[in-house]
Amino acid sequence: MRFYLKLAWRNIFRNRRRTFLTGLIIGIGLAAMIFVDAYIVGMKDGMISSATSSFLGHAQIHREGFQDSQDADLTIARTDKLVEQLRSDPHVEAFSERTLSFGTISAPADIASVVIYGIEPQREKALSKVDESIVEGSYLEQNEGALIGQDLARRLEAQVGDRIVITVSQAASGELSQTLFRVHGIFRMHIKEIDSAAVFIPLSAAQSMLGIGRGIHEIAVRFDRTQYASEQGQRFSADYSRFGNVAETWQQLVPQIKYILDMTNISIAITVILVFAMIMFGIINTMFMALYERTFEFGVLRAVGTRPARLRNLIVFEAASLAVYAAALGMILGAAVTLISSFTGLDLTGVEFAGTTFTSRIFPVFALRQFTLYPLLVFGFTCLVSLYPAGHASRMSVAGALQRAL
Amino acid sequence: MRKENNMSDQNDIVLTKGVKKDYRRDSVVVHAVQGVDLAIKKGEFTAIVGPSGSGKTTFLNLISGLDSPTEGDVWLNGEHISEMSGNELSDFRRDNIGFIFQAYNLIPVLNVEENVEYVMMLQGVSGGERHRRVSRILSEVGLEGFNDRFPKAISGGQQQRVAIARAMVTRPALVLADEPTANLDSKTSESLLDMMRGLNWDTGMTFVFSTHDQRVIDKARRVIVLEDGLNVRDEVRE
Repeated sequence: MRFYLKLAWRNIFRNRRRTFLTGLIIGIGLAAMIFVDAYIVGMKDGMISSATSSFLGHAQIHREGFQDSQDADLTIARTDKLVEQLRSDPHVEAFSERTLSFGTISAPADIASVVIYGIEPQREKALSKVDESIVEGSYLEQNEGALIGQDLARRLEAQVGDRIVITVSQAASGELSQTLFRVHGIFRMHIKEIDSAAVFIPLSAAQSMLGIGRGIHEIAVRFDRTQYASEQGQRFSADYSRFGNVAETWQQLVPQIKYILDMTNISIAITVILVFAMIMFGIINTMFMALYERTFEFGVLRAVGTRPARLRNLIVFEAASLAVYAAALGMILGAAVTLISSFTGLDLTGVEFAGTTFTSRIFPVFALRQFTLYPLLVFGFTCLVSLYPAGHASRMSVAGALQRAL
Repeated sequence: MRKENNMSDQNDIVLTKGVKKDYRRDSVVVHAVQGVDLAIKKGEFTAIVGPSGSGKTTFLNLISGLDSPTEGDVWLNGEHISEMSGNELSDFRRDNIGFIFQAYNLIPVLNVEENVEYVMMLQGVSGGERHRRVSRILSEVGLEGFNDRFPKAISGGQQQRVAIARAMVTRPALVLADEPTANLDSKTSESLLDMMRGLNWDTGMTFVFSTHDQRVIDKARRVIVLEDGLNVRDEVRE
């Protein structure tokens, strides 16, 4: 075995240029897999981050039925107990109570239907990026004023300091309730629905307009790790779905993102298949070229007593040696290209993809599998593919092989 | 069930009966060997001669188990090789036949010692024993100290000496040489032939050559002439 490994290793360097080029083809394939995978991981993280960190949070708690009916009456039950539980949960980094209602906003120039979020400014600051999204004016500091999206502001021709009137229907009576606010700030979150149809007002003002006392409709939660929602989502749901409330993670709240993430796995699989097809043709071509060049040599090996299986093993070992060489080349190349591109990243800010708008640059993320699983797959696949030329060589007629060189 | 070799002398190393070999070249059937009956005794130094296309190499392939006959039987060292499986034939060749081909038949990525010890490695001979035997045979063929050299670093004549060492290191019953002097100059050819003749004399190993080189024919003790796949003359010299 050791002898054949030595022989195989020496054989692949007989034609250094060919070995280098074949190794480079396979290596580029592996490097492409590493690079694409790193960006897909980065993109996944970016999508999750864009979807959750802007406003959604990693999880939310609502009163059962609220998500479907959006009925202002359906406030979260036993808020105090849940808040106490959230405060003592080591995996909860931040949470924010909100009201959520539909209404209209009137400005001198126009009127629009909007979603009105009542927020606790300081708590919201710790959870979402509403404060970071202010492009004009300033964030809510006291329990006064309103924040409106840039697109909505354009439509209403409203500016910071302008007066606007928000109208909602009261929870209990259904009576219309109107309040005058001054535009405190204009935000741009790069999320179309929010920028064009959302208004943030202080929580107490919203509760008062809706007539729900100290009631809230939503608690948005951020975990200490993004992965916690995937790993322990069910446990979180079970722990907080109490008193007639429902706790859901972002996968349940925006399932389309999960589908998209699943689809990215398919795109990784397609990349892998394409790369492996490239490797397959590279290996088969190289092995057959070497095989035809060395037909007489194989004939000699067989003539002096080498069994067909040993000859087949020798060729598989040669392919394995080539795979080791190519995998090393591919890993170095893949790491280098990915590292270089990580300095700049990919600017997809504002690009909407599957209902999610990227809010920051996408940076490649190295993962262990890129340097373990993929090289191993390349190695295994190369060995597997080499069985074809190896089988061909082991079945060739010895007399015919010896005749070939004469 | 294998055929018993009842008809031969115990001294026969090679015995063929009615051996024929046909093969197809494009759409034409070529009758390369057309029923050869032959016995070669242990210790002979035999040349199979004939013009190109006479069937020399094909016959050599048949008696060494490198090819199988279309018809007829071949016994080698008492074994009916025509009926052996692929692996059996590989093992039989490994243990009973030494091969010398035309020049440049060494494995280029193995050094002289590795080339010579290769067959012993297939036989499972220990490393120490292999090294001892390689040193002895290299000394016999005049290549002492060449162990670490690679084929490309030695001359054509020296490469053929290595091939002879490889063929003989296991002390096989039969050494088959297909045109061993074809690519060598006359001086080197003479020297190699003398060496093989001496080894044949000293060890009693049987040598069978396929050749049309007159120098080989002159050295042979027996000359078998093939023409159109038939044995037309068999001459034993004293």
